[in-house]
Amino acid sequence: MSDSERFLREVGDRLPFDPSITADVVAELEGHLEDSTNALIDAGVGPHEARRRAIQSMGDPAALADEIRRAHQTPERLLAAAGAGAWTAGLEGLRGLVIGTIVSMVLGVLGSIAVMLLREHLPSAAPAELDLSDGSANTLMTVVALAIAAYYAGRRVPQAVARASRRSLGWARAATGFVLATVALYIGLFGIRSEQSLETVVGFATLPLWATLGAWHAHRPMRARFRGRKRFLLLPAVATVAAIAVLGGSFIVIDETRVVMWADRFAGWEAVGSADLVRARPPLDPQSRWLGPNTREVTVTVLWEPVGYTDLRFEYWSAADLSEPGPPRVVTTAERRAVIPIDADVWAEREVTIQVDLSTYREIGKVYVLITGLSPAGDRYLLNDPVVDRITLEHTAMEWILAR
Amino acid sequence: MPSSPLVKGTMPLLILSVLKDTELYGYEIAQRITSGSGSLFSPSEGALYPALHRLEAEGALQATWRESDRGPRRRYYRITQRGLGQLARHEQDWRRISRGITRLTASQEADV
Repeated sequence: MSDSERFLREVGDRLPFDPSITADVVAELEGHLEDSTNALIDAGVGPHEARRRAIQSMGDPAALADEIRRAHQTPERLLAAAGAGAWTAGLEGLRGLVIGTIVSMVLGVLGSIAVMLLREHLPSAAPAELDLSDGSANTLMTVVALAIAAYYAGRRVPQAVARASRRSLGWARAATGFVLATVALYIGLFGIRSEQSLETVVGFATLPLWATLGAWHAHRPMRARFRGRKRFLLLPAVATVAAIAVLGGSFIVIDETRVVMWADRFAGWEAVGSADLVRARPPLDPQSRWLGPNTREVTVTVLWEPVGYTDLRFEYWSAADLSEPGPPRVVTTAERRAVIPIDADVWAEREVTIQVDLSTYREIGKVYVLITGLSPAGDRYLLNDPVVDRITLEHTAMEWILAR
Repeated sequence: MPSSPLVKGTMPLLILSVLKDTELYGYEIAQRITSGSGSLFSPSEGALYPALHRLEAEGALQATWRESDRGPRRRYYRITQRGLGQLARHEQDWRRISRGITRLTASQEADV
Protein backbone atom coordinates (compact mmCIF):
# COMPACT_ATOMS: atom_id res chain seq x y z
CA MET A 1 0.00 0.00 0.00
CA SER A 2 1.46 3.36 -1.01
CA ASP A 3 1.72 6.33 1.37
CA SER A 4 -1.10 8.17 -0.37
CA GLU A 5 -3.34 5.08 -0.20
CA ARG A 6 -2.56 4.75 3.50
CA PHE A 7 -3.34 8.41 4.05
CA LEU A 8 -6.64 8.20 2.18
CA ARG A 9 -7.61 5.00 3.95
CA GLU A 10 -6.91 6.59 7.32
CA VAL A 11 -9.16 9.52 6.44
CA GLY A 12 -11.90 7.25 5.11
CA ASP A 13 -11.84 5.00 8.16
CA ARG A 14 -12.50 7.94 10.43
CA LEU A 15 -15.51 9.23 8.51
CA PRO A 16 -18.77 7.89 9.97
CA PHE A 17 -20.69 8.53 6.73
CA ASP A 18 -22.57 6.31 4.35
CA PRO A 19 -20.04 4.38 2.25
CA SER A 20 -20.96 6.35 -0.89
CA ILE A 21 -20.32 9.72 0.81
CA THR A 22 -17.04 8.48 2.27
CA ALA A 23 -16.00 7.24 -1.18
CA ASP A 24 -16.77 10.70 -2.61
CA VAL A 25 -14.68 12.46 0.03
CA VAL A 26 -11.77 10.07 -0.44
CA ALA A 27 -11.95 10.37 -4.23
CA GLU A 28 -11.93 14.15 -3.95
CA LEU A 29 -8.85 14.12 -1.72
CA GLU A 30 -7.21 11.58 -4.00
CA GLY A 31 -7.73 13.94 -6.94
CA HIS A 32 -6.19 16.75 -4.94
CA LEU A 33 -3.16 14.62 -4.08
CA GLU A 34 -2.73 13.76 -7.77
CA ASP A 35 -2.95 17.41 -8.81
CA SER A 36 -0.53 18.54 -6.10
CA THR A 37 1.93 15.79 -6.98
CA ASN A 38 1.77 16.55 -10.71
CA ALA A 39 2.23 20.28 -10.06
CA LEU A 40 5.35 19.59 -7.99
CA ILE A 41 6.73 17.20 -10.63
CA ASP A 42 6.10 19.87 -13.28
CA ALA A 43 8.09 22.27 -11.07
CA GLY A 44 11.06 19.90 -11.18
CA VAL A 45 10.62 17.94 -7.97
CA GLY A 46 11.29 14.21 -8.16
CA PRO A 47 8.19 11.94 -8.22
CA HIS A 48 8.86 10.35 -4.84
CA GLU A 49 9.56 13.66 -3.13
CA ALA A 50 6.58 15.24 -4.88
CA ARG A 51 4.25 12.58 -3.51
CA ARG A 52 5.73 12.96 -0.02
CA ARG A 53 5.27 16.74 -0.07
CA ALA A 54 1.74 16.48 -1.44
CA ILE A 55 0.75 14.14 1.39
CA GLN A 56 2.51 16.32 3.95
CA SER A 57 0.61 19.39 2.78
CA MET A 58 -2.65 17.60 3.51
CA GLY A 59 -1.74 17.57 7.21
CA ASP A 60 -2.78 15.01 9.80
CA PRO A 61 -5.32 12.57 8.30
CA ALA A 62 -7.17 12.21 11.59
CA ALA A 63 -7.49 15.97 12.01
CA LEU A 64 -8.60 16.37 8.39
CA ALA A 65 -11.23 13.63 8.78
CA ASP A 66 -12.50 15.19 12.02
CA GLU A 67 -12.78 18.61 10.39
CA ILE A 68 -14.67 17.19 7.39
CA ARG A 69 -16.96 15.26 9.71
CA ARG A 70 -17.70 18.41 11.70
CA ALA A 71 -18.39 20.28 8.49
CA HIS A 72 -21.29 17.90 7.82
CA GLN A 73 -22.89 18.42 11.22
CA THR A 74 -26.09 20.38 10.88
CA PRO A 75 -29.14 20.59 13.18
CA GLU A 76 -31.14 18.56 10.64
CA ARG A 77 -28.60 15.80 11.06
CA LEU A 78 -29.57 15.39 14.71
CA LEU A 79 -33.15 14.81 13.64
CA ALA A 80 -31.98 12.28 11.07
CA ALA A 81 -29.87 10.64 13.76
CA ALA A 82 -32.88 10.31 16.07
CA GLY A 83 -34.85 8.66 13.27
CA ALA A 84 -32.01 6.38 12.26
CA GLY A 85 -31.39 5.47 15.89
CA ALA A 86 -35.03 4.62 16.57
CA TRP A 87 -35.33 2.60 13.38
CA THR A 88 -32.13 0.67 14.01
CA ALA A 89 -33.01 0.10 17.66
CA GLY A 90 -36.35 -1.36 16.58
CA LEU A 91 -34.90 -3.61 13.91
CA GLU A 92 -31.86 -4.72 15.85
CA GLY A 93 -33.85 -5.07 19.06
CA LEU A 94 -36.24 -7.36 17.21
CA ARG A 95 -33.36 -9.36 15.80
CA GLY A 96 -31.81 -9.57 19.24
CA LEU A 97 -35.14 -10.63 20.70
CA VAL A 98 -35.41 -13.52 18.24
CA ILE A 99 -31.86 -14.62 19.01
CA GLY A 100 -32.42 -14.05 22.72
CA THR A 101 -35.60 -16.12 22.67
CA ILE A 102 -33.77 -19.00 21.02
CA VAL A 103 -30.90 -18.72 23.50
CA SER A 104 -33.21 -18.55 26.49
CA MET A 105 -35.21 -21.54 25.26
CA VAL A 106 -32.04 -23.56 24.85
CA LEU A 107 -30.98 -22.57 28.34
CA GLY A 108 -34.42 -23.45 29.61
CA VAL A 109 -34.23 -26.90 28.07
CA LEU A 110 -30.76 -27.40 29.54
CA GLY A 111 -32.09 -26.28 32.90
CA SER A 112 -35.03 -28.65 32.64
CA ILE A 113 -32.81 -31.56 31.83
CA ALA A 114 -30.68 -30.65 34.82
CA VAL A 115 -33.79 -30.47 37.00
CA MET A 116 -34.94 -33.86 35.83
CA LEU A 117 -31.53 -35.29 36.59
CA LEU A 118 -31.48 -33.60 39.96
CA ARG A 119 -34.92 -34.83 40.80
CA GLU A 120 -33.77 -38.41 40.97
CA HIS A 121 -31.28 -37.50 43.67
CA LEU A 122 -33.39 -35.14 45.72
CA PRO A 123 -35.80 -35.87 48.58
CA SER A 124 -39.37 -36.45 47.52
CA ALA A 125 -40.50 -32.99 48.63
CA ALA A 126 -37.95 -31.22 46.50
CA PRO A 127 -39.37 -31.80 43.03
CA ALA A 128 -42.60 -30.06 43.90
CA GLU A 129 -40.69 -27.04 45.05
CA LEU A 130 -38.73 -27.03 41.82
CA ASP A 131 -41.94 -27.28 39.83
CA LEU A 132 -43.31 -24.29 41.63
CA SER A 133 -40.57 -22.11 40.25
CA ASP A 134 -41.65 -22.46 36.65
CA GLY A 135 -42.88 -18.91 36.74
CA SER A 136 -39.47 -17.72 37.86
CA ALA A 137 -37.84 -19.65 35.06
CA ASN A 138 -40.14 -18.06 32.49
CA THR A 139 -39.36 -14.63 33.90
CA LEU A 140 -35.67 -15.35 33.82
CA MET A 141 -35.85 -16.54 30.24
CA THR A 142 -37.78 -13.44 29.27
CA VAL A 143 -35.14 -11.28 30.92
CA VAL A 144 -32.37 -13.18 29.12
CA ALA A 145 -34.13 -12.64 25.79
CA LEU A 146 -34.71 -8.95 26.53
CA ALA A 147 -31.12 -8.51 27.70
CA ILE A 148 -29.83 -9.89 24.41
CA ALA A 149 -32.27 -7.65 22.54
CA ALA A 150 -31.04 -4.64 24.55
CA TYR A 151 -27.43 -5.58 23.85
CA TYR A 152 -28.06 -5.95 20.12
CA ALA A 153 -29.90 -2.66 19.91
CA GLY A 154 -27.18 -0.95 21.91
CA ARG A 155 -24.48 -2.41 19.73
CA ARG A 156 -25.88 -1.39 16.36
CA VAL A 157 -27.51 1.94 17.09
CA PRO A 158 -24.34 4.03 17.67
CA GLN A 159 -23.08 3.37 14.15
CA ALA A 160 -26.42 4.37 12.65
CA VAL A 161 -26.56 7.47 14.83
CA ALA A 162 -22.96 8.43 14.04
CA ARG A 163 -23.59 7.95 10.33
CA ALA A 164 -26.78 9.99 10.31
CA SER A 165 -25.56 12.72 12.64
CA ARG A 166 -22.09 12.91 11.02
CA ARG A 167 -20.62 12.76 14.48
CA SER A 168 -17.94 10.56 15.90
CA LEU A 169 -18.69 7.04 17.02
CA GLY A 170 -17.60 7.98 20.52
CA TRP A 171 -20.21 10.73 20.68
CA ALA A 172 -22.87 8.46 19.22
CA ARG A 173 -21.94 5.69 21.63
CA ALA A 174 -22.30 7.94 24.65
CA ALA A 175 -25.58 9.43 23.40
CA THR A 176 -26.99 6.04 22.47
CA GLY A 177 -25.90 4.43 25.71
CA PHE A 178 -27.59 7.17 27.69
CA VAL A 179 -30.85 7.11 25.71
CA LEU A 180 -31.11 3.32 25.57
CA ALA A 181 -30.27 2.97 29.23
CA THR A 182 -32.95 5.50 30.10
CA VAL A 183 -35.55 3.79 27.91
CA ALA A 184 -34.61 0.34 29.19
CA LEU A 185 -34.71 1.59 32.76
CA TYR A 186 -38.11 3.12 32.19
CA ILE A 187 -39.49 -0.03 30.60
CA GLY A 188 -37.91 -2.25 33.21
CA LEU A 189 -38.72 -0.35 36.35
CA PHE A 190 -41.53 2.03 35.56
CA GLY A 191 -43.17 0.82 32.39
CA ILE A 192 -44.16 -2.70 33.39
CA ARG A 193 -47.04 -2.14 35.71
CA SER A 194 -47.43 -5.39 37.50
CA GLU A 195 -46.36 -7.02 40.66
CA GLN A 196 -42.87 -8.34 40.21
CA SER A 197 -40.74 -10.96 41.81
CA LEU A 198 -37.25 -10.16 43.01
CA GLU A 199 -35.56 -11.92 40.11
CA THR A 200 -37.76 -10.05 37.65
CA VAL A 201 -36.87 -6.73 39.18
CA VAL A 202 -33.18 -7.55 39.28
CA GLY A 203 -33.34 -8.89 35.73
CA PHE A 204 -35.12 -5.84 34.36
CA ALA A 205 -32.83 -3.56 36.30
CA THR A 206 -29.89 -5.04 34.39
CA LEU A 207 -31.40 -4.19 30.97
CA PRO A 208 -29.90 -0.68 30.87
CA LEU A 209 -26.53 -2.22 31.57
CA TRP A 210 -26.90 -4.59 28.63
CA ALA A 211 -27.92 -1.76 26.34
CA THR A 212 -25.00 0.34 27.51
CA LEU A 213 -22.62 -2.58 27.18
CA GLY A 214 -23.82 -3.06 23.62
CA ALA A 215 -23.24 0.62 22.88
CA TRP A 216 -19.79 0.34 24.39
CA HIS A 217 -18.99 -2.58 22.10
CA ALA A 218 -20.32 -0.76 19.05
CA HIS A 219 -16.94 -0.35 17.40
CA ARG A 220 -15.92 -3.97 17.76
CA PRO A 221 -16.76 -6.64 15.22
CA MET A 222 -19.00 -9.24 16.82
CA ARG A 223 -16.92 -12.26 15.83
CA ALA A 224 -13.57 -10.82 16.79
CA ARG A 225 -14.47 -10.78 20.45
CA PHE A 226 -15.01 -14.52 20.57
CA ARG A 227 -11.90 -15.58 18.73
CA GLY A 228 -9.02 -17.53 20.16
CA ARG A 229 -8.90 -18.10 23.86
CA LYS A 230 -11.69 -15.62 24.45
CA ARG A 231 -14.24 -18.08 23.14
CA PHE A 232 -13.58 -20.22 26.20
CA LEU A 233 -14.95 -17.37 28.29
CA LEU A 234 -18.29 -18.21 26.76
CA LEU A 235 -18.33 -21.57 28.50
CA PRO A 236 -18.43 -20.25 32.08
CA ALA A 237 -20.90 -17.58 30.95
CA VAL A 238 -23.24 -20.18 29.46
CA ALA A 239 -22.71 -22.45 32.44
CA THR A 240 -23.59 -19.61 34.81
CA VAL A 241 -26.77 -18.75 32.99
CA ALA A 242 -27.67 -22.42 32.71
CA ALA A 243 -27.14 -22.79 36.44
CA ILE A 244 -29.40 -19.81 37.06
CA ALA A 245 -31.96 -21.37 34.78
CA VAL A 246 -31.71 -24.60 36.75
CA LEU A 247 -32.10 -22.81 40.05
CA GLY A 248 -34.87 -20.68 38.67
CA GLY A 249 -36.87 -23.65 37.55
CA SER A 250 -37.44 -25.72 34.51
CA PHE A 251 -38.83 -25.15 31.10
CA ILE A 252 -39.39 -28.58 29.69
CA VAL A 253 -41.61 -29.43 32.63
CA ILE A 254 -43.96 -26.61 31.76
CA ASP A 255 -46.10 -28.68 29.45
CA GLU A 256 -46.20 -31.50 31.90
CA THR A 257 -46.98 -29.08 34.68
CA ARG A 258 -49.83 -27.63 32.75
CA VAL A 259 -51.39 -31.03 32.56
CA VAL A 260 -50.74 -31.61 36.20
CA MET A 261 -52.13 -28.22 37.07
CA TRP A 262 -55.21 -28.97 35.05
CA ALA A 263 -55.85 -32.13 37.02
CA ASP A 264 -54.85 -30.49 40.27
CA ARG A 265 -57.07 -27.57 39.56
CA PHE A 266 -60.10 -29.76 39.57
CA ALA A 267 -58.80 -31.61 42.53
CA GLY A 268 -58.54 -28.22 44.13
CA TRP A 269 -61.99 -27.16 43.19
CA GLU A 270 -63.35 -30.39 44.51
CA ALA A 271 -61.57 -29.66 47.75
CA VAL A 272 -63.25 -26.32 47.86
CA GLY A 273 -66.47 -28.13 47.37
CA SER A 274 -66.50 -28.58 51.09
CA ALA A 275 -66.79 -24.81 51.22
CA ASP A 276 -70.01 -25.15 49.25
CA LEU A 277 -68.69 -24.16 45.88
CA VAL A 278 -68.18 -27.06 43.54
CA ARG A 279 -68.34 -30.72 44.22
CA ALA A 280 -67.78 -32.15 40.80
CA ARG A 281 -67.21 -30.99 37.30
CA PRO A 282 -70.36 -30.86 35.27
CA PRO A 283 -70.34 -31.39 31.52
CA LEU A 284 -69.18 -28.18 29.95
CA ASP A 285 -68.09 -26.78 26.67
CA PRO A 286 -64.30 -26.51 26.69
CA GLN A 287 -64.58 -23.42 24.52
CA SER A 288 -66.23 -21.48 27.27
CA ARG A 289 -63.58 -18.96 28.22
CA TRP A 290 -63.20 -15.86 30.21
CA LEU A 291 -62.36 -13.32 27.56
CA GLY A 292 -62.10 -10.20 29.58
CA PRO A 293 -58.85 -8.65 30.65
CA ASN A 294 -58.17 -8.50 34.32
CA THR A 295 -59.61 -5.08 34.68
CA ARG A 296 -62.70 -3.65 36.14
CA GLU A 297 -64.90 -5.11 33.45
CA VAL A 298 -65.04 -8.85 33.03
CA THR A 299 -66.82 -10.52 30.14
CA VAL A 300 -67.69 -14.18 30.02
CA THR A 301 -68.87 -15.65 26.76
CA VAL A 302 -71.28 -18.48 27.20
CA LEU A 303 -71.37 -21.02 24.43
CA TRP A 304 -73.79 -23.44 25.94
CA GLU A 305 -77.11 -23.51 27.69
CA PRO A 306 -77.13 -24.41 31.38
CA VAL A 307 -80.37 -26.34 30.98
CA GLY A 308 -81.81 -27.39 34.29
CA TYR A 309 -79.49 -25.25 36.40
CA THR A 310 -80.95 -22.54 38.60
CA ASP A 311 -79.64 -19.78 40.84
CA LEU A 312 -76.89 -18.92 38.41
CA ARG A 313 -74.14 -16.81 39.88
CA PHE A 314 -71.11 -15.03 38.69
CA GLU A 315 -68.42 -15.37 41.32
CA TYR A 316 -64.94 -14.22 41.60
CA TRP A 317 -62.56 -15.58 44.11
CA SER A 318 -59.13 -14.44 44.86
CA ALA A 319 -56.15 -15.87 46.60
CA ALA A 320 -53.22 -13.98 47.96
CA ASP A 321 -50.22 -16.09 47.36
CA LEU A 322 -46.91 -14.59 46.38
CA SER A 323 -45.24 -17.83 45.41
CA GLU A 324 -47.87 -18.54 42.80
CA PRO A 325 -47.97 -22.26 43.13
CA GLY A 326 -50.50 -24.33 41.29
CA PRO A 327 -53.64 -25.56 42.99
CA PRO A 328 -54.51 -26.90 45.46
CA ARG A 329 -52.44 -24.55 47.58
CA VAL A 330 -53.95 -21.45 46.06
CA VAL A 331 -57.45 -22.77 46.25
CA THR A 332 -57.20 -23.53 49.89
CA THR A 333 -56.29 -19.91 50.54
CA ALA A 334 -58.88 -18.50 48.18
CA GLU A 335 -61.66 -16.28 49.40
CA ARG A 336 -64.89 -15.42 47.71
CA ARG A 337 -64.79 -11.76 46.85
CA ALA A 338 -68.07 -11.27 45.08
CA VAL A 339 -71.23 -13.15 44.23
CA ILE A 340 -73.39 -11.61 41.56
CA PRO A 341 -76.65 -13.23 40.57
CA ILE A 342 -77.04 -13.67 36.84
CA ASP A 343 -80.32 -12.81 35.24
CA ALA A 344 -81.59 -15.75 33.21
CA ASP A 345 -82.22 -13.40 30.26
CA VAL A 346 -78.53 -12.76 30.04
CA TRP A 347 -77.92 -16.30 28.95
CA ALA A 348 -79.88 -15.73 25.79
CA GLU A 349 -77.30 -13.18 24.76
CA ARG A 350 -74.55 -15.69 25.41
CA GLU A 351 -72.38 -13.05 26.93
CA VAL A 352 -72.15 -11.83 30.47
CA THR A 353 -70.39 -8.63 31.37
CA ILE A 354 -69.87 -8.02 35.01
CA GLN A 355 -68.42 -4.93 36.57
CA VAL A 356 -65.92 -5.94 39.17
CA ASP A 357 -63.90 -3.26 40.82
CA LEU A 358 -60.49 -4.87 40.98
CA SER A 359 -58.78 -1.53 41.39
CA THR A 360 -59.37 -1.58 45.11
CA TYR A 361 -57.90 -5.01 45.36
CA ARG A 362 -54.33 -4.27 46.28
CA GLU A 363 -53.13 -7.66 47.33
CA ILE A 364 -50.89 -9.77 45.18
CA GLY A 365 -52.42 -13.02 44.20
CA LYS A 366 -54.81 -14.70 41.84
CA VAL A 367 -58.36 -14.24 40.78
CA TYR A 368 -60.72 -17.02 39.83
CA VAL A 369 -63.62 -16.03 37.64
CA LEU A 370 -66.37 -18.56 37.48
CA ILE A 371 -70.05 -19.16 36.96
CA THR A 372 -71.90 -21.56 39.20
CA GLY A 373 -75.40 -22.94 39.19
CA LEU A 374 -77.59 -25.24 41.21
CA SER A 375 -78.23 -28.59 39.60
CA PRO A 376 -81.68 -30.19 39.76
CA ALA A 377 -80.24 -32.33 42.54
CA GLY A 378 -79.48 -29.21 44.56
CA ASP A 379 -75.70 -29.29 44.26
CA ARG A 380 -73.79 -26.20 43.17
CA TYR A 381 -71.70 -26.83 40.12
CA LEU A 382 -69.07 -24.91 38.31
CA LEU A 383 -70.55 -24.13 34.92
CA ASN A 384 -67.64 -22.57 33.09
CA ASP A 385 -64.12 -23.58 32.59
CA PRO A 386 -62.48 -22.23 35.71
CA VAL A 387 -60.30 -19.33 34.80
CA VAL A 388 -57.18 -18.63 36.74
CA ASP A 389 -55.40 -15.43 36.10
CA ARG A 390 -53.10 -13.14 37.94
CA ILE A 391 -54.27 -9.80 39.07
CA THR A 392 -52.36 -7.04 37.44
CA LEU A 393 -51.77 -4.64 40.21
CA GLU A 394 -50.77 -1.07 39.62
CA HIS A 395 -47.31 -1.76 40.88
CA THR A 396 -44.25 -0.93 38.90
CA ALA A 397 -41.02 -2.64 39.72
CA MET A 398 -39.81 0.60 41.25
CA GLU A 399 -42.88 0.77 43.47
CA TRP A 400 -42.26 -2.81 44.37
CA ILE A 401 -38.73 -1.97 45.42
CA LEU A 402 -39.80 1.12 47.33
CA ALA A 403 -42.56 -0.80 49.12
CA ARG A 404 -39.84 -2.97 50.56
CA MET B 1 -1.88 31.10 4.46
CA PRO B 2 -1.16 33.40 7.41
CA SER B 3 -2.14 31.69 10.64
CA SER B 4 -3.31 34.90 12.27
CA PRO B 5 -6.69 34.44 13.99
CA LEU B 6 -7.81 37.52 12.07
CA VAL B 7 -7.79 35.69 8.74
CA LYS B 8 -8.75 32.24 10.02
CA GLY B 9 -12.42 32.99 9.69
CA THR B 10 -12.06 34.33 6.18
CA MET B 11 -11.95 30.96 4.42
CA PRO B 12 -15.66 31.01 3.44
CA LEU B 13 -15.23 34.53 2.08
CA LEU B 14 -12.18 33.51 0.03
CA ILE B 15 -13.86 30.40 -1.35
CA LEU B 16 -17.12 32.14 -2.21
CA SER B 17 -15.18 35.00 -3.81
CA VAL B 18 -13.29 32.79 -6.24
CA LEU B 19 -16.44 30.82 -7.06
CA LYS B 20 -18.49 33.94 -7.69
CA ASP B 21 -18.34 33.70 -11.47
CA THR B 22 -17.08 30.20 -12.17
CA GLU B 23 -17.12 26.54 -11.23
CA LEU B 24 -13.91 25.09 -9.84
CA TYR B 25 -12.76 21.96 -8.04
CA GLY B 26 -10.81 21.86 -4.78
CA TYR B 27 -7.28 22.08 -6.13
CA GLU B 28 -8.21 24.86 -8.55
CA ILE B 29 -9.92 26.80 -5.75
CA ALA B 30 -6.73 26.64 -3.67
CA GLN B 31 -4.64 27.75 -6.65
CA ARG B 32 -7.04 30.57 -7.48
CA ILE B 33 -7.01 31.86 -3.89
CA THR B 34 -3.21 31.77 -3.80
CA SER B 35 -2.76 33.53 -7.15
CA GLY B 36 -5.66 35.94 -6.61
CA SER B 37 -4.30 37.11 -3.25
CA GLY B 38 -0.77 37.55 -4.57
CA SER B 39 0.30 34.49 -2.57
CA LEU B 40 -0.83 36.21 0.65
CA PHE B 41 -3.31 33.44 1.26
CA SER B 42 -2.40 29.86 0.53
CA PRO B 43 -5.11 27.70 2.05
CA SER B 44 -4.05 24.37 3.45
CA GLU B 45 -6.05 21.33 2.39
CA GLY B 46 -6.83 20.70 6.04
CA ALA B 47 -8.80 23.95 6.10
CA LEU B 48 -10.00 24.07 2.50
CA TYR B 49 -11.94 20.82 2.23
CA PRO B 50 -13.77 21.07 5.58
CA ALA B 51 -14.74 24.64 4.60
CA LEU B 52 -15.98 23.47 1.19
CA HIS B 53 -18.05 20.71 2.77
CA ARG B 54 -19.43 23.08 5.38
CA LEU B 55 -20.50 25.57 2.74
CA GLU B 56 -22.07 22.75 0.76
CA ALA B 57 -23.95 21.53 3.86
CA GLU B 58 -25.20 25.07 4.42
CA GLY B 59 -26.45 25.24 0.85
CA ALA B 60 -24.02 27.97 -0.20
CA LEU B 61 -22.32 25.64 -2.68
CA GLN B 62 -23.45 22.85 -4.91
CA ALA B 63 -21.04 20.12 -5.97
CA THR B 64 -21.08 17.86 -9.02
CA TRP B 65 -18.67 15.24 -10.30
CA ARG B 66 -17.39 16.00 -13.79
CA GLU B 67 -14.47 15.21 -16.06
CA SER B 68 -11.79 17.87 -15.57
CA ASP B 69 -9.71 19.56 -18.28
CA ARG B 70 -6.86 17.21 -17.33
CA GLY B 71 -9.00 14.09 -17.74
CA PRO B 72 -9.87 12.50 -14.38
CA ARG B 73 -13.16 13.19 -12.65
CA ARG B 74 -13.15 16.06 -10.18
CA ARG B 75 -15.72 17.47 -7.80
CA TYR B 76 -16.70 20.89 -9.10
CA TYR B 77 -18.22 23.46 -6.78
CA ARG B 78 -20.69 26.08 -7.91
CA ILE B 79 -22.03 28.96 -5.85
CA THR B 80 -25.79 29.02 -5.21
CA GLN B 81 -28.17 31.93 -4.65
CA ARG B 82 -27.80 31.38 -0.94
CA GLY B 83 -24.04 31.40 -1.40
CA LEU B 84 -24.22 34.73 -3.24
CA GLY B 85 -26.19 36.20 -0.35
CA GLN B 86 -23.67 34.79 2.10
CA LEU B 87 -20.82 36.23 0.04
CA ALA B 88 -22.44 39.69 0.06
CA ARG B 89 -22.76 39.55 3.85
CA HIS B 90 -19.17 38.33 4.28
CA GLU B 91 -17.88 41.11 2.00
CA GLN B 92 -19.86 43.73 3.89
CA ASP B 93 -18.58 42.43 7.24
CA TRP B 94 -15.02 42.34 5.95
CA ARG B 95 -15.17 45.92 4.65
CA ARG B 96 -16.58 47.15 7.95
CA ILE B 97 -13.90 45.34 9.95
CA SER B 98 -11.20 46.50 7.58
CA ARG B 99 -12.41 50.12 7.76
CA GLY B 100 -12.58 49.99 11.52
CA ILE B 101 -9.10 48.54 11.88
CA THR B 102 -7.67 51.01 9.37
CA ARG B 103 -9.26 53.93 11.19
CA LEU B 104 -8.09 52.68 14.56
CA THR B 105 -4.51 52.03 13.51
CA ALA B 106 -4.39 55.40 11.66
CA SER B 107 -5.57 57.31 14.76
CA GLN B 108 -3.01 55.49 16.93
CA GLU B 109 -0.26 56.47 14.48
CA ALA B 110 -1.45 60.12 14.52
CA ASP B 111 -1.36 60.14 18.34
CA VAL B 112 2.21 58.92 18.28
